[in-house]
Amino acid sequence: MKEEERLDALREISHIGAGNASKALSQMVGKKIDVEFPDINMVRIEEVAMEFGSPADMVTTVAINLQLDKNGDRKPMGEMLIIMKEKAAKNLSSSMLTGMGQSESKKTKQINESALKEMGNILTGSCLSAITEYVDEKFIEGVPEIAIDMLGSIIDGFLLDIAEYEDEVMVFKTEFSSKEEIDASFIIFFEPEAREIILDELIENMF
Amino acid sequence: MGKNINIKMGRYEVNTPPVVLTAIGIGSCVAVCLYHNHKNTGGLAHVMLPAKEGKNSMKRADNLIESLVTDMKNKGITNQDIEAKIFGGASLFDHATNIGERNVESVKKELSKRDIDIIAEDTGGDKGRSVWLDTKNGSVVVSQVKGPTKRF
Repeated sequence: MKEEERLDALREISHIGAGNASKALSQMVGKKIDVEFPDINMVRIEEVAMEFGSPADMVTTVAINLQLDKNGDRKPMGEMLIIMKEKAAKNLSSSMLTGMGQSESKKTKQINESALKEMGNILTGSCLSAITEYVDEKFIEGVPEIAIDMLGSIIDGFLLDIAEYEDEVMVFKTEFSSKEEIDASFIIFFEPEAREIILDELIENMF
Repeated sequence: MGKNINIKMGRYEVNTPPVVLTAIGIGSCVAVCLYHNHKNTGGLAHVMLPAKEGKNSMKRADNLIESLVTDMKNKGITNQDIEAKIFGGASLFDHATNIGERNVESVKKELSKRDIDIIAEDTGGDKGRSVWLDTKNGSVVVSQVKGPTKRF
């Protein structure tokens, strides 16, 4: 089976994953969130930043490390990132906290950040659960971390670990948008070895 | 201000005034800035990975620095006349690997192998950097998010 067809299988799954994620996000912020059709592509590592903006763009990012548990043997699976403009990050965390009944005065920087981290957990979980339907592995999510910095600087560290082995990285990407300016990119970078395991099992179990 | 040329990951370039060589939004990568005073010639390499035996790739410190130095040699500049400044090698997340640190180490080793002195450096930490090398005088401006802009 050609690589493109293998990716198609994952695209199919990712539609379900993104659908789950958008439902979860809409519930969290109490607003309708539109989710763009997700896309999965192989992208040259030095071109990845351009997929999401310009390397100098200031962004708030939630990052969660992903591991794959293959019969008790843990392998790096990749990195999940939610990338937002600062304004969108503020709006998102604020909407979430309002939804949870938090008063304005309690919305400190720390509490806003933990809201965004929680959002990272929920989105990652709902997206991965779509893949688990077809893949017989356990996924392990790390603890979310937040950084506010330039887009290029934020993603290059994660990409370099993959660049050790390959020139291209598999990028899962979808965009969330709403009337209230809470646009965000939801991204997963896949490590080469884990990518092959997931694709192989998907193909086997889907067809 | 001269004309800016941005050097992407895994690329390098040697140029002369009025060009300003830049590397925008670097995190764990390292920007190697080389300069020759009398010839007003500067070079910048945007290093992605440390040197690794048996691995020949323009992503890596050894190949990129070798190409940069060769380009300068072709313009009549010997290694003894080159001064180096290095920037980057940050680690923005606690759970990230130490790839930034290993990049800085490898770049230092490759420069020392070629008898090139490092006269300034701003490396490590948990913030990204943008770097501007002015080929007019070899000065490098480094900016970080929510931090002071520094000149080296």
